[in-house]
Amino acid sequence: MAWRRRRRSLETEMAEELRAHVAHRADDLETSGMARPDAERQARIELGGIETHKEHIRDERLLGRTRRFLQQTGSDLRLGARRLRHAPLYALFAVGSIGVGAGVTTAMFAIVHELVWVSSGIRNPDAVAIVGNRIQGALALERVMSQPDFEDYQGAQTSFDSLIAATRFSQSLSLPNTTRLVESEAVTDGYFPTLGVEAALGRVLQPADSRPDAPSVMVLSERLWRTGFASNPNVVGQVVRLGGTPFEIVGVAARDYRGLNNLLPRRTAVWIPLSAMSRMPVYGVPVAAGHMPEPVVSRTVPDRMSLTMVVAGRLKDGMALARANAEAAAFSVGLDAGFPITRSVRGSRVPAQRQWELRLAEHTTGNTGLGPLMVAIVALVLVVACTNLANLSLARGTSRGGELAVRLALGASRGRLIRELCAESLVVGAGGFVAAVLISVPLMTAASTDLIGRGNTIEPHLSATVVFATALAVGLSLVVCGLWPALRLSRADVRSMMTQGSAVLSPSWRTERLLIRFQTVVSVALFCSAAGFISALLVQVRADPGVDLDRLTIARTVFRLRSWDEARSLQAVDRITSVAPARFGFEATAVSSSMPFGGNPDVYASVALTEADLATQRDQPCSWPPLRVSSTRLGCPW
Amino acid sequence: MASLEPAGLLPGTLDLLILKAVSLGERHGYGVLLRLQQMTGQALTIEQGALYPALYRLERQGLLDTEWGTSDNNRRAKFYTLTAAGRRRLKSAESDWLRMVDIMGTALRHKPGEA
Repeated sequence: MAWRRRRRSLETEMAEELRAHVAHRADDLETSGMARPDAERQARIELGGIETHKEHIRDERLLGRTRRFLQQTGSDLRLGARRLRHAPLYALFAVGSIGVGAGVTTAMFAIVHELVWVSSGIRNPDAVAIVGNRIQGALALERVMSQPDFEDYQGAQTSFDSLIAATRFSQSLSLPNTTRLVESEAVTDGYFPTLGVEAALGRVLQPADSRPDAPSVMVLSERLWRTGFASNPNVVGQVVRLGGTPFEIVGVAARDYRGLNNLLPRRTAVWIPLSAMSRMPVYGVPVAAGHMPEPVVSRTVPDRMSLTMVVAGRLKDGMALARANAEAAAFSVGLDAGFPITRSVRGSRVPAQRQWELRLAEHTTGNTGLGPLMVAIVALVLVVACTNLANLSLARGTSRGGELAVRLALGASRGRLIRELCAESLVVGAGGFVAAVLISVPLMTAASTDLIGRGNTIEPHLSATVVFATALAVGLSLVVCGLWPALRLSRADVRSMMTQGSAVLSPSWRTERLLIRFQTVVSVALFCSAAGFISALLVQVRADPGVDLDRLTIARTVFRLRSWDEARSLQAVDRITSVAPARFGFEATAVSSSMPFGGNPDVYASVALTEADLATQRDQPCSWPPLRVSSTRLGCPW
Repeated sequence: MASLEPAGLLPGTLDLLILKAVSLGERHGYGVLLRLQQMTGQALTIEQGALYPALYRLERQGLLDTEWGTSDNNRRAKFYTLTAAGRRRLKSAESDWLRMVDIMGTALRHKPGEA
C-alpha cells in the first residue's frame, strides 16, 4: 500500500512538473510574440514525448538499478523460455531430471526430518537428564531400574528438582472404529510438569490421578487424537479401553511431545498413571469370569530385579551434569551393596551391577548422524541427474558454439552470455522445482504407510523447511547443470570455437573426466539396484499364494506367551476361535502359531479369519479379546 | 562567419552542469534549462527529455533537494536546491574535470620533438 501511495504521488508530481515546464516555455514564447495556443503547442513539441520522459523518470526515480536489473532478467528469462520451447525434448529431459533427483532427495529429507530431526517436545531439554544403566559397555536408557530402586533414588537424590519414571508397554486400545496396538507409558507423579509438557486439549495427568481410589484416566498423544479420534474436540471425557480396562480420556499432550523415547517405533500414544497399570487385567489383578485369563507373572511386582522403568529428571538450577552423575553413580553402587541383582543370560541368572549414568535429554532424542547419511545417499540420484544434464547442456551449448562465438566477437561481455545461459537454466529450475514437489508428495504419502504395524507411522509433509530443502536441492542442481556449463561455454576462445567447433568444449579437466566416471559408476549401481527391486516386485506381484486373498483377513492377538503356560494359551485360542465367527461374521477361522504370508518373529499366536463382510467387521468396535487386523486385504496393491 | 553548431554533451557531463546551475541559485526545472543554456552560451545542446530524469536521479542520490513553490510567472513549480552532499560532489567533480581538461590540453598541445 505504501509503495502504491509513493508511486501515485510520484506520477502526480511528474505530470505537474512537466506541465509547469510547458507553461513556462509557452510564457516565454508568448512574450516573444507567439499566440498562446501556438506557444503551448510549440512548447510541447520542444519538450518531446511526455510519456517517454515520464518513463525515463520512473526508471531513475522508482527503482533505478533494481528495476533495470529486473527488466533485464525478465527479458533473459523470456528469451530462455523461448529457446527451450524450440527444444522441447531437451526441456522435458532437463525438467524431468531435476524433478526426479530433487523430488526423491526432498522426500528422503522430509522422512529424515520427521524421524530424527524433530523437536523432542521437552521444555529446556538441556536441563533434563535421563538416567541410563551401563550394561556390558553399552548405555541402556530403557528398562534402567526397578520401581523400588527408583523410589529410593527419588528420596535420596539432591541433584534434581524433580525425578520421574515411566514404564513402557504396548497394549491394545479400542478406538471408535477399530482396535490398535499402541505404545503406552505408565508414569509417576509430576511426569508432565518435570518435562515441561503441557496439554494441547484438556489437561495432563495430576497427582490426584495416582490415588488408589482415583478413576483410571489417560492422556492421548496429539497424533493418536488426530488419527484415531479424527481430531474430535470433544474427546475429553470419552471412555476407551486399554488392554480391556476402561480409561477416561482427560487430555491430549502437546503436539511435539512423543514420549521419552522419540525414536520409531517407540513413540508413545497414551500416558496413564503408574498406579492405574495395576488395574489392568494383563498386568495386575485377576480378571472377572468370561474375560481372558490373567497372566501368571505380574509386571508390577515390586522386585528390584524387575528393571522396567525409564527415569528422567530436571536438574536443579546451576547443577552440573557431572556432579549429578557422580551422585547417581555413587547411589547405584550403594544399592548394589545392599540389594544385589542378577540378570538373565541364556536362561541362567548371572550377577549384574547397577552402573547408572546420566545423559541430557537433548542428546537422547534421535539427533544422530544417520539422517544426513541417508539424505546424502539418496542425493546421489540428484548428482547423477545433474551430471547428465550438465553434459547435455554442454553438448547443446556446443551446437550453439558458433552463435556464442559471433556474439563474443561482436563485443558481448562474458557476463552477459553467462547471464543469458543461466536464465535458461533458471527456467528449467522453476519447472524442476514444480516437478520435484509433485514427485515428492506421493513418495511422502507412500512413506506414511504403517510398515511396522503399531500405528507409529511417520508423517513427512511439505513443511516450510522441506520446501526450502527442495529449493536448495534445485538451486544446487542449477549450479552444476546451469552455471558450470555456462562458465565453460563462455570461457572458450572465440577463434578456436569458430575454427574447431565442439573440440574446444570436450572434457579437458581431470575433474570433469572424474565426474563423468563417477556418474557412470553411480548410474550403473543405481540401475542394478532398480533392476533388482523391480525383479523382486514382479515376483511378489506374480506370486500365487494358493488362496483367495481378496476374502482373507489376518488378525493377530497378543497372548504374551512368555507369561502364560500352555494350558492357558490353548484356552485363549479356543475362546477366540469359538467367539470370532459369531461376533464378527467370519465364515471360518483357522489358527496358526505364526503369522502366515510373511512370518512373524514375535511370540504371538495368530488367527487367520476368512471374512464374510469386511466392512461390517471393520465398523464394529473391538474391545476384548484384542484382535488387531494386520492386513485387511492381502491382494497385492499393485 | 558562420556560427558554430551547438555541440552534444559528453557522457556524464549533464549531471555536473546541473549541479553547477543549481549551485548558482534555487531553480525550477525550466529555469535550470535556461540557466544551462545561458552558462554555455547556447554552445551545448541540452536535450529537454534528458533533463528531468537527470534531476530525479540527482534527487534520488541526495545531491539535490526539492520544494514546491511559485515561480516569477506566478506558476506552481518544483524548485531545486543543492544539498551539502551535492556541494561536495560538485566540488570534487569540478576539480576532476578541470584536471582532466589540463591533461587533455597538455596532451593535445604536444608537438613533435617536445620532451
